[in-house]
Amino acid sequence: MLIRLAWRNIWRNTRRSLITLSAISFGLTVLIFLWGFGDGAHERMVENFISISVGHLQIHTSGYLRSEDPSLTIPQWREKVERLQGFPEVYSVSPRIRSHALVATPTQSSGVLLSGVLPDTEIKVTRLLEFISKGRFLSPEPKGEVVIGEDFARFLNVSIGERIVILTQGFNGSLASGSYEVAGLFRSGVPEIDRGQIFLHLKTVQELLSMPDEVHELTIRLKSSSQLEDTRFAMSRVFPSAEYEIQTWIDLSPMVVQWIELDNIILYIILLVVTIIVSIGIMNAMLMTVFERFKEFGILRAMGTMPHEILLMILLEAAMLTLLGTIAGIIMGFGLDRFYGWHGINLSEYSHAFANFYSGTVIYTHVSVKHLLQSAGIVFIAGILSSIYPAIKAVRLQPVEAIRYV
Amino acid sequence: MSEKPIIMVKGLSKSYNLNNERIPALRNVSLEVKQGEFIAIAGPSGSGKSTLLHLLGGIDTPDTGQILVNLKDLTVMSEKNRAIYRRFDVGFIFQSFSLIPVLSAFENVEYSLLLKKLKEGEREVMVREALKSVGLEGLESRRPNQMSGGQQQRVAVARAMVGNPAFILADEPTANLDTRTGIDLIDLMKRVNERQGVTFIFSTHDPKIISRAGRVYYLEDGSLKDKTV
Repeated sequence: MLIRLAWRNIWRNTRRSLITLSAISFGLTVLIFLWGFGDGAHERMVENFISISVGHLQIHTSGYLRSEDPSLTIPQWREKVERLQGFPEVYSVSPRIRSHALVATPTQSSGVLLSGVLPDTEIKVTRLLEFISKGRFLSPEPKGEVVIGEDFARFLNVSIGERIVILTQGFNGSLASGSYEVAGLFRSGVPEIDRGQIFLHLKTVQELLSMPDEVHELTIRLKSSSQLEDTRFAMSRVFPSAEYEIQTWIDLSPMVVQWIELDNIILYIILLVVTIIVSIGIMNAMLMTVFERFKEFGILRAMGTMPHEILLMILLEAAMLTLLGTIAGIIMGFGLDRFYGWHGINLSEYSHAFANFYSGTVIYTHVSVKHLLQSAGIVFIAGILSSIYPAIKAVRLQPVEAIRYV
Repeated sequence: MSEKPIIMVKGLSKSYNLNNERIPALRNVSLEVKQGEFIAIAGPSGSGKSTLLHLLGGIDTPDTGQILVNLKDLTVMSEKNRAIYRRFDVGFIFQSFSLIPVLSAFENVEYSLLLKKLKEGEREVMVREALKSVGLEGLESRRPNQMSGGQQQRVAVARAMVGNPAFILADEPTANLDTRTGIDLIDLMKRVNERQGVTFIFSTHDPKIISRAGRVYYLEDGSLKDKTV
């Protein structure tokens, strides 16, 4: 009977209940959408960060990342790649050789990070092939080709088929240089890579640096990000820490995780604000409902209804109202999330604001189950908690005063 | 009618605070009610009729005096025990608008049995019987706003009597009804009193209603002036 009473009381003042429901559902919809935006952008940010060039894990000889000493290469790297491929969690391994270099054309020059890669394995570890916007990616066999960023090509004023000169320090300290044909241009959306990194065949760079069959880095892509720490632990037994450093993408760029955490803090603050607004709305509606029914509560008390039963009745009413609003909010919020998850939100007009965030300029919303349930749960609980004060007011009312109340 | 009183009121006084001044509502009232009586508490507005009924019903407490209902002293009961007393021993009929608007006639009557924790089957039989005895058979599913004032008060009578309380208190039950409907309601209460032996104590200031009472207590300025048999 209490449930029936609570349900019917909600619809006693349909307009007020609908306004309250709208406030709850709209607030929750906005929250879910914002979480979807944040989660989607973060997911894309991490995925891009991993797949643009870093991979899930990287293995270097101890001290290489700190000193960038070209002599700190990975011995017997082919055998190590084979061993890494034996790990069930590993999708692919890309060996790389790296060096800082100066790129020059007749009119321009600029410093870059030179990466020598094996095209066949590199495209399995990163999305470089997808990012090719003009021309093509490196040939499987070394042909003196280079792939550079579109922005960098514009800066150098070169196009497909033209040549650039690369100057760097060879393994023995001598000046190394070569002229290479631009085979393709890429656009990853990350200026740091588009303007600061160029890719050549592994053998081409080995020859340029006079480091035949040497690599500095093994970049690993896993089948799933969730196996990151477990895999690193398993690999540490094969690659002892005294000789090798195994780093995850988080170690290599903790900034990405910090951005996500900061974003989440902002979203939690918004969640708090929305929850407070929704709570005030529900408290207001429940207070009006209680004031209007003082006499009725008095009659119920006179009939022997216990104070806790009145309390339960009001809380049930608020719970049902909030539950309806929460369900509507989840449906609308999740619907909006899926809609923009499919179509994306094009923010290319503000691309400069996203340039360094790896998220791309089209954000595909994708709210996580955790944030969806968290938002819905907090709004629902806040709705019930905010009706406690009106319920206490009704409970404290003396039946004799309530009956006289007009 | 039993000769043994079910209600014994001794030296009952009650006053209220109004602008820091104590206004007496009842002064040293003593009375007795026997099982099966049909009693009117008469008097002009502000004479203390409602206060007396509220005290008998255990929804208010006196300043001094004693109220014994079936030898249980209401004045020493805790709020919880008074709620239990109201639930099981008293039936209330208020002036008007006392039904729960979102419940049907059936559910309004059933509510009082729910408080008594009766089983569904038992409730169904008792509610139908009560509504039948007040002439509302067939109107069980109507909500208060779909019924006339007189029909609503009949539902209130059915709700008050359905759990077989020790007595029913009716605070000016005809106040918001036209004369004919008011008299019909009192006649209905009288029939229930005679057929089922339910004790009624009702307040009124209407002479036509007073004339239908078995016994009348007159209140004036909070004091009991006279009583008729």
